[in-house]
Amino acid sequence: MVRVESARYGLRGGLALQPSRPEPALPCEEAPLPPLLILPLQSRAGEAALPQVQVGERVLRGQCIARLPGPWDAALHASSSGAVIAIEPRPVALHAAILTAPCIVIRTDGADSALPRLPPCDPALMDRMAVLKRLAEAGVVGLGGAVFSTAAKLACAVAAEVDTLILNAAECEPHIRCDEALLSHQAERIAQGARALAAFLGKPQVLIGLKETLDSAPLEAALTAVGMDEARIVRVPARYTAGAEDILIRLLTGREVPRAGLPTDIGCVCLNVATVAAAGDALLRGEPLTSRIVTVIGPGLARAANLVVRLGTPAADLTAACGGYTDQASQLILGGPMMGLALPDDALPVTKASQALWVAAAAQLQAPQAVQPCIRCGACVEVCPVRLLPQQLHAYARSGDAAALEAHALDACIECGCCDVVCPSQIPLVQTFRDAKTELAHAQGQDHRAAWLKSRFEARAARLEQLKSLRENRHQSARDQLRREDPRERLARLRARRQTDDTPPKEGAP
Amino acid sequence: MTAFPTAPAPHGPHARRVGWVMTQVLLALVPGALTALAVRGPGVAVNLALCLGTAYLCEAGALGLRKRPLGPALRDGSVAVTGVLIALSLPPWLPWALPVLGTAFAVLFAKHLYGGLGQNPFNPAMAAYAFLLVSFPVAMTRWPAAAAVWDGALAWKSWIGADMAWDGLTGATPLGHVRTQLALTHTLFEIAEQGGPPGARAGLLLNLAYGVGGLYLLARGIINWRIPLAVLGALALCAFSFQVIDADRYPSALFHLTQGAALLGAFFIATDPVSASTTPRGRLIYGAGIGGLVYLIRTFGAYPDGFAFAVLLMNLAVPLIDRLTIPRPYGTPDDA
Repeated sequence: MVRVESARYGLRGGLALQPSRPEPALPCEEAPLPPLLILPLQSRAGEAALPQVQVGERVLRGQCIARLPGPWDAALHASSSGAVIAIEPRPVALHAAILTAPCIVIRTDGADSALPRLPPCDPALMDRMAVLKRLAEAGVVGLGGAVFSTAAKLACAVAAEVDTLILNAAECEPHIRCDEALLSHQAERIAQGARALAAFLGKPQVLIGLKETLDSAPLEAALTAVGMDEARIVRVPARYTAGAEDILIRLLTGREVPRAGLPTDIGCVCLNVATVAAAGDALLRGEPLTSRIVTVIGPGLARAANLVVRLGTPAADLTAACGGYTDQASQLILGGPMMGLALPDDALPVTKASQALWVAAAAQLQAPQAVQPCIRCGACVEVCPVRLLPQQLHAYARSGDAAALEAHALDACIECGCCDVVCPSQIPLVQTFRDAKTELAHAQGQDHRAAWLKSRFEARAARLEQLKSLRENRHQSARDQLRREDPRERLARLRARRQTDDTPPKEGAP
Repeated sequence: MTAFPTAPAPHGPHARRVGWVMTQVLLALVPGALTALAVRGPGVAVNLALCLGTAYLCEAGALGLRKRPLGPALRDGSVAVTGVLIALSLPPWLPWALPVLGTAFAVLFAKHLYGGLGQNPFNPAMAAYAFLLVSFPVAMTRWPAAAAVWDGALAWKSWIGADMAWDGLTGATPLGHVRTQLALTHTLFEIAEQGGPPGARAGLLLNLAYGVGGLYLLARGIINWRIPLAVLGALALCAFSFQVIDADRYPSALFHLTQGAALLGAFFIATDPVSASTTPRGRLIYGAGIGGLVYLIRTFGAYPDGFAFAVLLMNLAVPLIDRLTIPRPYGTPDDA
């Protein structure tokens, strides 16, 4: 039997944003195939992937259409069959901003013909390099929103010999319920992926952080079915920031990821359940990542649903699949209320990072209010999950006091936005902190250069000093030897030397 | 394609605003103010009117001079809280110029000279109180006896500043009475035998009323428990320790907690977030410091009550306390 337990370590701060009881289940269905697919070549800050296809070329579902040069960089695949009609810059949602990035646009042909599957690559049988290569080739990335290459993450985990594999099913933002659908309808995909990854990592302990309002039964059954009896399901509070990687790790293990460190530094690797399911598909079924579950929800829509969506589907096709907009629709938000990105229009496509599409009503939002001065009330301190003093950071960011910002651990801020929400003065704290971090990094960049130059100078000075002292040591030891020598022996030595090279000794006899 | 307006995250209603917080504080002061009105007479209402009027006038004037918009600052209610706290600390029928002068000092000097809301290192209400107490010690310590506060003619004479109005009709506060009697080498037992300090019942009632308001603030999450608990805890601990040493000379913890400015101070004055320490541990230290200083001033100092001085002294220590009590952030080793 798989053990189900409650979290042994407490959750600090955070916000209760969702009901503490289970919400009525959403229907989970396949979204209709859209006529156009827009696949951005960029998913994170950094360079864009290189297209592997040309305009006019016919592509099949699962065909690699773009890749990056790095060995563990995830590839990008056509999510349905059709023709590439354009490779051009288009606006896309990238992390926390709308940016223009090159995109491959595919006009689908409706046949949805797929490339033949790759052979399975079971980690129990294959070597680790082959497994990592497969994950990168299948385009598996973190589906919890970070879209970091899973192959790269696991390569790091292998190098660090982690002892704990954590599956993140904490889903802590309201309106994001895609993992819920995965857990209740496709739990066997998660279990198979978890078993494959556990085998890959050399049988670490497997902990699954499950939101307490979700039903654990399907996952328990699926884990038992694949023989993962030793896995433990840990119920975590339905509270915002419980699902943030660093926070979940502390909640489940009591360990804290060092500042400026990685979870692998403390023997943990943490993956979202959807990522684990996608990794299982890639390894055991040879299927690349071409779709994901997206929650389409909100009073601005006729109905809500969890949709299995082809990557690259424009938002408009998803809202249409949910019966179109109602009169209440006032903002289209990609993600939840805390971290979500307000989209300027519904032509933007769903990417691997998209978890939910929330069509909010005006009553759920608030018109921006005038910022008032900080009154140091400390409401932000009570909700900060990483024990910072946002009110002090704000004051020091305003005065540009870099030393104080460092002393107050600005770098530990996870930008969760809890402080923003509770601030009675409506100060955009997280924005202030992001700006301050950027400035600090810039200043430190200059510091680094200065420090590097200084260290080079000091190294040279030390080298010269060392040479000098070596020389002096040599002279000193020579003098000491002379002093210790018996005068008669010395006379004999000098005579011997005179006989051999006939040069007079420099020093006079004592 | 449908276009939508955009806004930065987080999306959703904000919890509360400064104006709402200040309104809640004013609301929580209502039971205390009504009780004060009942036991100290209509002079309390006059002080309230004078202080509030002066507070708003000075706030508007200062904002005008600083070329700041009037609307948001006048609506945030912080200046009303300052005015009300000053008014509730003053004796009734004080010469009218004093409440006006004190409030003007609080708003113009203690608040706006330092940069307005959120910037003042000292609690404005307590700065005003200390300013008045030091400048006008006689008037500020002349509390009319309970029987006299409803006497219109006397009140009028006192209010316009005619001297000697209360001659023979002023009583000491319970804290002052105990202090004087102890100085005359009476024991607490003897004081109790003579019927206890006059006005002790009124003082108790008043403190309870402020306590009710304070509990309301705690329940609504407007103030944090740390400062009031530390103030009252330290005060009680000091009182108890000395009582154990000599019960004849040192009044009980209960007496200290229910007399003078104890509960008004612990819940409404020490908790002023701007001038208080802002870290969780720092708030405990700050509160305990106030409680301890109040006891020291009451017992060994030159004034029967010392809340204003205790708060101002601890205000001075706030930058240091804040710096020494930074919590350990996530991912930092204990020894760092």
